[in-house]
Amino acid sequence: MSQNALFYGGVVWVAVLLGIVVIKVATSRTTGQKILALDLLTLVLIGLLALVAGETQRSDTLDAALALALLSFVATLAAARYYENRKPYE
Amino acid sequence: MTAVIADVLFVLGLLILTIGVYGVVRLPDTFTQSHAASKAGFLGVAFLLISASVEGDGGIIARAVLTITVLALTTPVAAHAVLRAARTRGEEMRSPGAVDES
Amino acid sequence: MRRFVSTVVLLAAVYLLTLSSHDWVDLLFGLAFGTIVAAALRGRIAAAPGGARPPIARRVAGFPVFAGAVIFDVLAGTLDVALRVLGIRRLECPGIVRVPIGERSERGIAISALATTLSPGTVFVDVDGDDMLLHVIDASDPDAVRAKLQQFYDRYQRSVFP
Repeated sequence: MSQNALFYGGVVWVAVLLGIVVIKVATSRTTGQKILALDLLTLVLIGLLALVAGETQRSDTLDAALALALLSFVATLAAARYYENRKPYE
Repeated sequence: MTAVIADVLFVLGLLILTIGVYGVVRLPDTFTQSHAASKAGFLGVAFLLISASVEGDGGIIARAVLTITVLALTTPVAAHAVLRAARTRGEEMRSPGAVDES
Repeated sequence: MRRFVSTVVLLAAVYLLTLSSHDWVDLLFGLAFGTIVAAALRGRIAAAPGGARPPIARRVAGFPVFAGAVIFDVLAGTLDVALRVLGIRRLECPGIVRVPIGERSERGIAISALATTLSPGTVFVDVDGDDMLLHVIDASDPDAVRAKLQQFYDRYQRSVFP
């Protein structure tokens, strides 16, 4: 029972963090800050997936976490490159 | 015993993740925010993944190890790319007493 | 050739970890897929760096110490950044510091960049001539930062990734 309370509390907490980061993405002043906040958004999502995997003891949510980590890396790199020289590649 | 370790890592991970998010909201410019965003966030997520795999079977442990390795290799590169872009595009440092030797 | 084989083995290991199986059929499939991928990317796998390198036994022995030092740095740096974010320790004079490359090879620069950037408090920004540009969260004393990084390189990294 207490285990469940901890888990649901954690999920609600991470959901609140997600909302804060989304607001931060929308309101940040410079493009660099927006890209950083988007990167953090996927990190928080991976944390949420790890919570669910720990509670349900099913490993398929971690597959999603792994794919999300790889995707967010490519997305952040492409966005930063585009911001730096207005082209995604040299 | 393992349940206690998992709970401690769980709370610690949430705490570090929260500090990372709070740092991104509070710190003044892109350069200082990147310290909180990528790195504090990475350690928080790593703790959460370890907490999930403490009581897990082989499948969860293998994927957690793989995810932590991928994150450890990719978050520094992403932070570096964003900061280099910010410096190239001349974003200013708004922190008090900022140093710039470049 | 040694590089090609190690790439195939690494890819097969990642394949097995993703499936989280230790079946020999999966191992064969992993090796086969690894060979295909490595052969397709043959031209893009970086060549082994030239120049004198420390003997392999010393590098293998030094790696756990180096990894432990990096993990300790990550934990200590996270505590420092957390205190500054929460306002307990004052945020003063963050900024970009020039750190001389010194004796690092090209791979040494890459490993240094990964290690410093992974630990909060320092982010690798760029290479400029003979210097690395690092963003440090407390740059009130740039010489101390340079001395600390040089000491880290001398003590832990030189014997593993020069």
